[in-house]
Amino acid sequence: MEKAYPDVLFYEFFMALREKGLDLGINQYDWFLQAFLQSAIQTEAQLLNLFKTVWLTRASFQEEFEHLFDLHFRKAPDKFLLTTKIDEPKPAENVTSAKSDTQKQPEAPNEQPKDNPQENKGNTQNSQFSTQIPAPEPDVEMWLSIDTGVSEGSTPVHQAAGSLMKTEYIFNDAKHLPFAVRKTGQTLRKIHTRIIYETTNRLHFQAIIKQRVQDGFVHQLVYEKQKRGVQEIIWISDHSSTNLPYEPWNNSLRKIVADCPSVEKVHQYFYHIYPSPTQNNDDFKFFENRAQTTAILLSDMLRKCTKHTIVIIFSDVGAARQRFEAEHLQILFALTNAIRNKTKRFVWLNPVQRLSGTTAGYLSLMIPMRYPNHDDIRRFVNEL
Amino acid sequence: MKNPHSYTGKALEKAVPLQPYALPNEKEWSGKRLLPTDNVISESIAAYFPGDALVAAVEYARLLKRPLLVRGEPGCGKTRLAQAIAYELHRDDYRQHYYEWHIKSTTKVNEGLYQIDHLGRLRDIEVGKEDPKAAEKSKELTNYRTFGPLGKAFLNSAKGNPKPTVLLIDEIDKADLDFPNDLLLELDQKRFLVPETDEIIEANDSLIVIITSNDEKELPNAFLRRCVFHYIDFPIQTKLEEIIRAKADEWKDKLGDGTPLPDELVNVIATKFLKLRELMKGWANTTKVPATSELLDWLKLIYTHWAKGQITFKKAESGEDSLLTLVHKPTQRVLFPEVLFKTVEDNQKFGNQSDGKGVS
Repeated sequence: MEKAYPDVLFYEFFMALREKGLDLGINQYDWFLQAFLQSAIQTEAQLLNLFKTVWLTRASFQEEFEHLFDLHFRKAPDKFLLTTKIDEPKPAENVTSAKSDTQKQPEAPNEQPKDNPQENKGNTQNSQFSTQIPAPEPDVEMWLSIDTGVSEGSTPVHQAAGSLMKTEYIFNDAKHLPFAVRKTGQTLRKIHTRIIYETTNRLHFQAIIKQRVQDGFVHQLVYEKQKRGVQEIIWISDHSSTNLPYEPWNNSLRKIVADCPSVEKVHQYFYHIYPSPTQNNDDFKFFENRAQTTAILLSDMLRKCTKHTIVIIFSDVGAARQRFEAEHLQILFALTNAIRNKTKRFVWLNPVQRLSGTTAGYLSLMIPMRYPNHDDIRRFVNEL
Repeated sequence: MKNPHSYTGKALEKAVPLQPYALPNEKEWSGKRLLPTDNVISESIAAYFPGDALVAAVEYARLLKRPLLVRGEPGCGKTRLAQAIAYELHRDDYRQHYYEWHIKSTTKVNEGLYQIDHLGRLRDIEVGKEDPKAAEKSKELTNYRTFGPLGKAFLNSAKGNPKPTVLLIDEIDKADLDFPNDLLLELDQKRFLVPETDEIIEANDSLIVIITSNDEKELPNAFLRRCVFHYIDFPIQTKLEEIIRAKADEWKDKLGDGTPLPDELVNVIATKFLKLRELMKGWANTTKVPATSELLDWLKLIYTHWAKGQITFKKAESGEDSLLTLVHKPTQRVLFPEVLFKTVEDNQKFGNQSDGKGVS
C-alpha cells in the first residue's frame, strides 16, 4: 500500500487530530518531534502519554484522542500476527475463514464507509510506529486485508462506487438559507459542547475479529459507538414592547442554536420588561410560554442546570428607549448573579448597539453583554 | 533526556519535616538579606506520589521548556506537584527557589510581574522636604518597584543556579478570560519589560512553570498552544494503598501509639473508597465525586478512631465484603459521610444506607 506521507513521522495522526478540531500548529508538531527524538519511548503507553502531553489541548477530548490513537497505533495482537506465518497451514485457514465471515455480512463494509479509510490510515501509521517496535511487515499487510473484508487492490474503486451510489444530495440543502444565517449557524456550531458516546446496534467487526484471532473464539459481541451531543441551552427572551422589532432576530438565532447538531435541547422562557422577583426577593418568576399562562421559578429552572449548561438572555434592557432605571438594574444584576453562580456559560444578547447611559450600559459593565453580529457572536462563542 | 537534575517523583515517598527557615522577602531584591530570625516558618511537606505519566510529563515540559498545564478533578494533587518538584530538586532549601502565584478572580497580570508604589513615592517627595533620606530615596523609581511571584521567579532563575527555579501559577481558570492571554509573551519568551524603569526582566531557560486549572473555564487557544498538558487521573488501587500507608505512617506517632495501619485495613479502605467513587460516578446527580483530599480527611478520621479502638474491622467472609464500623454507630454503613459527601442528595443516596447496599 502506498503511504501518503512516507517521510513525515506521525503526520497522519497529527492531521486527524486537527480535523477533529484540536487547535494544533506547527509548533506543537515540532515540540512533539523534539521530545520524541530525545526520549527513550519504548511502549505504546509512553507514546500515548507523550502525545497527550503535547497535543491533548482539551481535557474533554481525551476519550476521542485515545480512540484515535488506538486506530492509528494500537499494535496488532502477536498471536494474530503469528497466525499468518507461512509454515503453519492451519492459521492460514483461520485467516480465510475470518475473511469469509466478514464477507457473509455484505452490509458491514458499506455501513461504515468512513471507518475503513481511517483503519487504513491507522495501519499506515502502525507500520511507521513499528520502526520502534519491529513487527514483520507481511503480517501487518495480511491483517489489513482481513480487516477490510475485501482485497486490497479493489478497495478504493469499490468504495468510491458505493459512496456515489449512496449520494442523495449533490448540494447541501442548507444552501438555500441566507448567507448571514448560514454563517451564524457555522459560528455557533463552534460552541464547546458536551458529547457522549453511545453504543449503536452495529457490530464492531474489527474488535470482534481481534477477539477471534487473539483468543481463538468470539466471547463477546462488541458494538460500534457513536457520539451524540447532549448540550442543553436555556434561552430567555424579553417580550416587552421595545423588543417586538427584534423578535424575528431572536427567533432566528434561537432556531439556529437549536439546529446545531450537538445541542440536545433548548429550553425557552420569557419575561416582560424584567422577571418578577418573588416576595422575599430571592427568586425570580419566568413564563414558560408567550401567553404567560404558566410560570416557573428561576430556582426550579436552574435546578437541572449544570456547569455545562449555557444560558442565553435576549433583551435590550431598556436600551431601545435609551432609559436608565436603577430598580431594573438592581433586579437584573441579582438575576445574573444567581445564574452565574450556577453556570459560568452565560451571555446576554442585546440587539441594541448604543448602550451608554442606559440600564443595559451599566449592566454590560458587570456581565458579558454582546450585540449579536458575526464578530460578537464569534467572541462569545470563544468565551463560552 | 536524563540529566542529574531530572524529576523522578521519588523524593516525597514519606512526609518530610523541614528545619525552620526564612522566606525570601522583598528586601532581598533590593540587596538586603533578612536576619535569620525574621519571618521564620516551620514546615513539614506531606508525602506525594505522582504517577509515572505525570513524572514523564514534567520531564517533557522541561525538555521543551514549556509551561506544564496540569488539570484534574479538585483535590487530585495538582497544586502539590510544583512543591514536590521544587523539593526534589532543592531539598531543604527549596523555598528559596519555589514561587507560588495563587490566582483569584480579581488577579491582574501585573500583580504577578511587578508593581510600582507611586503613592509611596509621592509621600516620600512630600516628606523629603524635611527628611533628606526620604528625598534621596524618592529620586530612584526602582526603590518603589516590587516584583510579584512571576517576576521573582524570573529573577531567581537568572541568578545562574544550576538547578531550576519552580513557579506555580495556581488555578489560572479563576481569573477573567483575558488573564491567560496577557501572559502569552511572558510564558512564551520568558521575559517582560518594566517600561517605567526601562528594564527587561528575563528568566533562564530552565525555569519550570507549573500551571493548574480546574477546567471551570475554557482557556483561550492562543494560551493552550504555548503549554504542554497533563490530566491527573485518580490513582489506581495500588497507588492509593501507597498513599494511605504513607499518610498513616505520618500520623502514627501524633494520633496513635506508633502502630502502623495493618495491610488488610489499608486494602479495605482503598477498596471501599474506590467502590464509593464508582457508585457515585454512576449516579447522574452527583456533582462532586470524592477525590484524594477527601480520602485523606476520611483516612485521618478513620485512623484516629481506629487508634482509639473505636472502629471494628471484620474481615471478608466468602461472598461478603469486609466491614468497617464505628463502635458507637454500628448501623452506619459509610464511615464519616460528613467528609465524603458535599451535597445533601449525595449524603442521602450513599451516606445513610443501612440496608446492606452501602459501600461498607
